Amino acid sequence: MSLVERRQTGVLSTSQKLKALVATSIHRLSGAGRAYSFRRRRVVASLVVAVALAAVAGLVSIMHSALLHTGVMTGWMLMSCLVMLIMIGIRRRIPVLPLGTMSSWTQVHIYTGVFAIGVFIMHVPAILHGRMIANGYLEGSLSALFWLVSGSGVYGLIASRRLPWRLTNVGEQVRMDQIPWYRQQIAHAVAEEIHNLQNPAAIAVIGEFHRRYLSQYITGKPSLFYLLMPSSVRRRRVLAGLVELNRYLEEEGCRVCGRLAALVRKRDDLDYQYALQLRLRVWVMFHSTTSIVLLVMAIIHGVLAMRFVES
Amino acid sequence: MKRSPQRDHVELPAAPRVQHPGHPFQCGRGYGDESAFGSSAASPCEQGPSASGECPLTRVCAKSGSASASPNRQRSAESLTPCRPIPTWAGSRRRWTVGSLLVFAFALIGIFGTPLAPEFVRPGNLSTSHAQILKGDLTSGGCTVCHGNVSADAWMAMRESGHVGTESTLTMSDRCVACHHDRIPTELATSAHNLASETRIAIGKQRRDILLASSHNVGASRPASNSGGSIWLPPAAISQDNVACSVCHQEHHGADADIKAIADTRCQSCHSQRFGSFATSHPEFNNWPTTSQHAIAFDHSRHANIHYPKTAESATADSSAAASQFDCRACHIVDRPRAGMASKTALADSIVSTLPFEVACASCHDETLGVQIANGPALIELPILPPEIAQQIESWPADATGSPDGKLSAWMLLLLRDQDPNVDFSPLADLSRVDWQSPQNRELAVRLGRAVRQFAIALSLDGQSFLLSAAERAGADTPVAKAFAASFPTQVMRDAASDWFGKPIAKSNDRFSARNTADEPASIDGVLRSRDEDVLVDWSASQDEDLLLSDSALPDAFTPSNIGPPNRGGHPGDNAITQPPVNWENELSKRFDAARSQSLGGWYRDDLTLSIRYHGSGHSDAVLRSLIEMAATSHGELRSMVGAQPAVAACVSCHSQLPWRAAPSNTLRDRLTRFSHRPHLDIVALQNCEHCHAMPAADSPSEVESSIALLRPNSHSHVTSLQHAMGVVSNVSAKPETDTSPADHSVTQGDSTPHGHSDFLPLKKAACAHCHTANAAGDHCTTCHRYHVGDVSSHPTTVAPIQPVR
Repeated sequence: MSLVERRQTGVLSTSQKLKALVATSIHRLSGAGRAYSFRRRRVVASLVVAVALAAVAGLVSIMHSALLHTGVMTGWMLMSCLVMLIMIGIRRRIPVLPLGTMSSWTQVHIYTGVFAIGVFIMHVPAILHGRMIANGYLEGSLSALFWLVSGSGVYGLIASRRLPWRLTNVGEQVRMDQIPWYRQQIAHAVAEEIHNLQNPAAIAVIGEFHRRYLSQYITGKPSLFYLLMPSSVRRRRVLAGLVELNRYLEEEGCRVCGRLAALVRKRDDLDYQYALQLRLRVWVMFHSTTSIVLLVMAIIHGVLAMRFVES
Repeated sequence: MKRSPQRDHVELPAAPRVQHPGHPFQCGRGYGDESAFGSSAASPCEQGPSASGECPLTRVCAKSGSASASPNRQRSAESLTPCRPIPTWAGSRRRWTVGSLLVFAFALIGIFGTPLAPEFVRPGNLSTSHAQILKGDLTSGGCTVCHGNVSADAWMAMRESGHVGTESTLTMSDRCVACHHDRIPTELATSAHNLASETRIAIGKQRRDILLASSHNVGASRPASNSGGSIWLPPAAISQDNVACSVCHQEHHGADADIKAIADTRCQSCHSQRFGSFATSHPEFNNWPTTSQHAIAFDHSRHANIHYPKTAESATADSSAAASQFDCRACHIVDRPRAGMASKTALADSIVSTLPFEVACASCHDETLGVQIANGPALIELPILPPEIAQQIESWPADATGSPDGKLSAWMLLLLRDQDPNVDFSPLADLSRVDWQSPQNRELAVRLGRAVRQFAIALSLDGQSFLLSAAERAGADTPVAKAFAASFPTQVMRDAASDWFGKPIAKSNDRFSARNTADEPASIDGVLRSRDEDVLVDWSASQDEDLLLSDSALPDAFTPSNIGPPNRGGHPGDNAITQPPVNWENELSKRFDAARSQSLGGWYRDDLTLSIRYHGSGHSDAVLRSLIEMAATSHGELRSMVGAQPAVAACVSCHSQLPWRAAPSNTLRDRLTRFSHRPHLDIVALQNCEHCHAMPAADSPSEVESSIALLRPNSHSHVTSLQHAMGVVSNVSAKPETDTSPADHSVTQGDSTPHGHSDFLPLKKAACAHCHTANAAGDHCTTCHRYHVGDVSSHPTTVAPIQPVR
């Protein structure tokens, strides 16, 4: 089949198929031709970081061959990255300044952090020898702290993607500072429901249940284990108890149990939101505090290194 | 966690608006604080608590506490009941953050304000070889041994004084060299390869000459080596005259860290010729391996192909058949580095140490050497001067007056030069060829005669001490000069000087004089006159007889009548008993034959030539060694005169260069390249030395000679440049100002074999490249090449160790 015939019949050669496949893959991966999607932004930013890291690696290799101390260059680069990463906290506290959107800052923060991890690997010679932590107390602490901050950053990156989705599933989001108020309202509502009972049997059954189980759940705070790993076990246990009460109650008592169950679910949703929001806030606090400590120790390390480096 | 759909939905009242976001406390109304309103449904106040968590109504209540209890006031007081403020997350977070940072700050203060600071800031353990600096008790000062700016006080002082100080001006490299000055020259410590810039430039020029020469010489091609990705490497970003130690050696990477490891790319950053792997693009070897310029001139090929087979043919079947086989191990042994040779063994390969002459060579060469050194050189010899010149010299002997003839003793001229360095008697070296009509020559001859006379008198009076100082000043090593001076019999010189320039004394008792005969009765008077002077003569035995020559004192076998002709090579007197007695008086009337009567060596007086001569005792004779060492420091003409003496020629035929023993080569080329036989000899195939050191066949034209011819200066011009370049590269010193060319140490002129050349067939790179690849025995630059090639062994440095500041 001649080339003309092949073109006319639309039969593609293997190389043409391969070229088309590669072009399609790149097109789909980068999101070119479509609106500026999240995937496209991620691909482009990742490529930029990869290219930057490759450039730094080449520069380090060249400088090493030129008998220069590459640690000085990568150290200053790391220090710049740390300052850049810390700046997001300043930006967050000064929202009035026209410094760009917080979303843009977050993206820059994420990819600067990834870039800093790559530079850190080039900076610490112990890593090239298979040890993650550098020698010495100061530099060992510094490298451990860097990995801690980096690890918390990676966790935060994952948590900031998954926890909002889990919070959304619960229902309406409540401000963390308002959750105690809502807890109090629920406890008040439960007490009112119990107080308004008229049937002696209901008073005896529901009151006994409230005294032994429900009041502890409603007025107590979630345990540390629940805060770390929130689950519906406790809620289901209480709800199962309320359901068990139905066979001893008349219709009015069952309706009261239904409202109490709704309040229990409301309380559990609040606890769930509290645990997840607390997790996010503790992470932010931990990440920012360790970042400050890391910056201070990095400055100390930099000053000492520049004092003792000979050339 | 999957949440179930909401059932029995409960509507809760809307939460009160957060009045002060980010405030550390919020109003406690409605947060279960029943004391506030009596009802939890109360809404928070607008003002909110203070930053310290105090409700603003607390002060109002305190002021109105004494008010009257009217109903209106009671209602008003209920609305003014203070709440219990609730800490917000923002406040909690702030407190936790500040608390954590305070703990961190206190921890830093606690660390840096205590003696823990050096241990804390130490970036890691030192390598094993340096670990004693911090851990051991051999070194005091800790960090300050290497770092001068470690203390906070010194740091602040340096900052205030603009980094000017005494201790602080010392760089870390200076502190490295303070300990390592035995291996690294102090003044060139930070120069690349510890070489002066002039030397590096000279080497670069020589390498270009070599490449240029090889480009014209097809047979000795050295491929251009720029290849692969190495040509893209950047040049060194630092000055080659300021290469700090820490550029390559970085400490604090743990005890097991190899601080000497260096990447090949770093080695090549300064080099204009770069290459990739050893096997593919390293330049081909040229004239490798080489011999040391101080090596003994030994032709392996001739010995293996000619001398040993010839000896084997003449040897009987039962004697020394095995010894007639050429075996490398007969001369080269495997030994261990000697103590105190650390710097030299770093360059030398102890496996190829050569056995001494007595073990390796004497069996064949001892006898011929004895013949060659029989005609001893003269320490002093009176020249035959024309009468008109002799008249101008006080008491010049008549026997040394007449038609000038003969040659001056080179040994005597060496020592006369020491007496008066401004006078050069070389124009009178051959008296028969001197233009005696020239006033200058006549004046020089007069000065020569006077100098010889003074020299003889000085030798007679001061004797050995005069000779020792003269030999040391002339360049002989002290031990050799001492042995030389100690062997000199001053009494012989005294007698000779007395005979030559004064009244004769003790002629009949002069045991060394060949002139003394029994028919000189006047000598008895001399003995009688000088009996109070000669302490060696025991006059108590007999007034007119020498105790040592007394017939009664000697056993019968040693009476003069029994003294026969001395044997050669045996002990004197061995044949005295067996030989028939001869007329000893006639023997004494003849000229003294040192080869016959003094076969074991020693000084003697020759009255025929009016000289004091020395008969060599054999190999490693101290007197001849001192003569050659003195000649090595003299100028060319005088050196050639000494070299023309047969005994000296016999020595320098093998010892063409000083020092005498085949010392480890210390040329720059040898320091740049290292090789150890030991790991190679563990390979069975390489245990045969000829695997690498191949010798040309006996019946074929020597390939080595052809290669030698290439290296001779009279070859083609491009080859001349190659030879010149190779020679200079081989012998260039690390310090141009102290550079000494091979000719400066050469005793003989016109050596047929250039130094640094081996008589083996050149070794090709392929022989090494079989194993030395990246995946096998390694092909790093530092596998075969050293960086620190500064010559400290010949220029020892004495640097006082730096006392660190505590």
